[in-house]
Amino acid sequence: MAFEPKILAFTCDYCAYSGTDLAGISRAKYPFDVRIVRVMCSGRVDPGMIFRAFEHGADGVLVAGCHKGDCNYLYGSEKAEEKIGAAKELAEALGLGEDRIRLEWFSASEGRKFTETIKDFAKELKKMGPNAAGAVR
Amino acid sequence: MTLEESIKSTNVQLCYSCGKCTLACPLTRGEKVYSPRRIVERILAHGEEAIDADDMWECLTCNLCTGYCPSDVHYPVFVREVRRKLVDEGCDGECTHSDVLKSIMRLMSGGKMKQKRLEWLDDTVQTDAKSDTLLFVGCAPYYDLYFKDLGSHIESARSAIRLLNHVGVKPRVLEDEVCCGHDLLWTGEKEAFERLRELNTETINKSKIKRIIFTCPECYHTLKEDYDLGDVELQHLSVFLEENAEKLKFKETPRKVAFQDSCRLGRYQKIYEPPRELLHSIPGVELVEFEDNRRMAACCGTSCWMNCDQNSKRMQVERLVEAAGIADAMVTGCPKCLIHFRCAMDNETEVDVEVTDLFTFLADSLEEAG
Repeated sequence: MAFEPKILAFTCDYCAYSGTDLAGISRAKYPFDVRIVRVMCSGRVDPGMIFRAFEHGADGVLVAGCHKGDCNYLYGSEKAEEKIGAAKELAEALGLGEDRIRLEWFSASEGRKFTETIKDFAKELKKMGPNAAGAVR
Repeated sequence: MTLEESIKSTNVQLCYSCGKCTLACPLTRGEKVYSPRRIVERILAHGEEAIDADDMWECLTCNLCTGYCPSDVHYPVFVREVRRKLVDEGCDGECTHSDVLKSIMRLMSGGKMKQKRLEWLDDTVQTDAKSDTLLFVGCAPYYDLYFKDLGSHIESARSAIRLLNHVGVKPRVLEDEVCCGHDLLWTGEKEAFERLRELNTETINKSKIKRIIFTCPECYHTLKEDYDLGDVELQHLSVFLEENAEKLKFKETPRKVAFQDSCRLGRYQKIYEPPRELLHSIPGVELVEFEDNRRMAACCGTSCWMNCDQNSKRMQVERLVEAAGIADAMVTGCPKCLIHFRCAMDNETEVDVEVTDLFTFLADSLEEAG
């Protein structure tokens, strides 16, 4: 069977999650194997949460936040940038590869951007193959 | 191991309730109520149903209590055994840093990833891919990426190689070394620990390593006590350097320093003097002692990336204040002590004392360091 990458998406409640909602309401098609976890802010996503996803066998993790300046908590997007940056560096050192982690900004109206991002991410992950660590938990 | 077996193997049944452990325990110095004596008493009387998960996860495993215990009860080891049981039942401890460090260890235990852990090697240090002496680097590369400004552990590893080069040893470093598994072992995750142990044992045997030198006390303690590496000689770098002390040429370094003993190096492995001898041999260095030193040394406040709270911060700040009063630099022998004290200093106090790592301090004091 062809490899279908498993993607976990952390979406911020205010913009990005509404964006995914819009994608759903518009009946947009995107890869099946994406699981969405709603968080209050992309700045809340710690590297530990991302690595926990890899431990459970995720092949890629998307963190979806609000465009800079639109954050309900003012500086969440900047915090996300810092934390996801650290997570990417750790993933690279660990041999997972930093490209398995993506940080993207969405507004509530960008349902289409969300589906395009997921499609593109799934395509890239297919090229990379399954997460080398496999599920260790 | 059943509860009865853990009780026997750690001498818990010999507890006669004197309460010295409670007095020694760093948790009780603040407002917390924590009594190993009473916890043990309850478990002895009522068995498994008396196990309180919070009691088990709060212990810092610093081993201060064991030092005071007249019956030689190994309370921290008992706690470690019970934690295994708790994890099997699905009760984890509370992890700081959202569990990222242990997550990394578990991912490593899969053994299928090609790590990039040696990118810090440069032409200031000389390694030898054929040497049978290994420098066990440990988690240093990951600490530097995650903790950023809380001390450079890569610098510490580089310093270790500079010191070894100085005494004529070119060590080997291994790209496929994995975490020693200390934190997983002490937080009850036995299976992941065993996977890591297998991976390291295989790598070490395959590379025909005869001697391993450690900078991290936890790696040293774990490979020594919880691995079976046969004839491979294991040495902490401070001990190795002290044996080669006549080859070390230090420059004049007028500093007043205090050495912070770490639990794994000190109370568990009984290595107290070699780091002190080394510091003492640097001309100009005045070595001063904390009031509680060697086997009584205060704990750095957290262990295995768990339970960092106000109590931990209080322990750290107290130690830093004492250090600032007696010295201008506090030298630690453990990367975690370094992270914890630096963190406390950045966030909590305005104490003016340099916190630095033993091997970085030594390497910077070498004559060739300029």
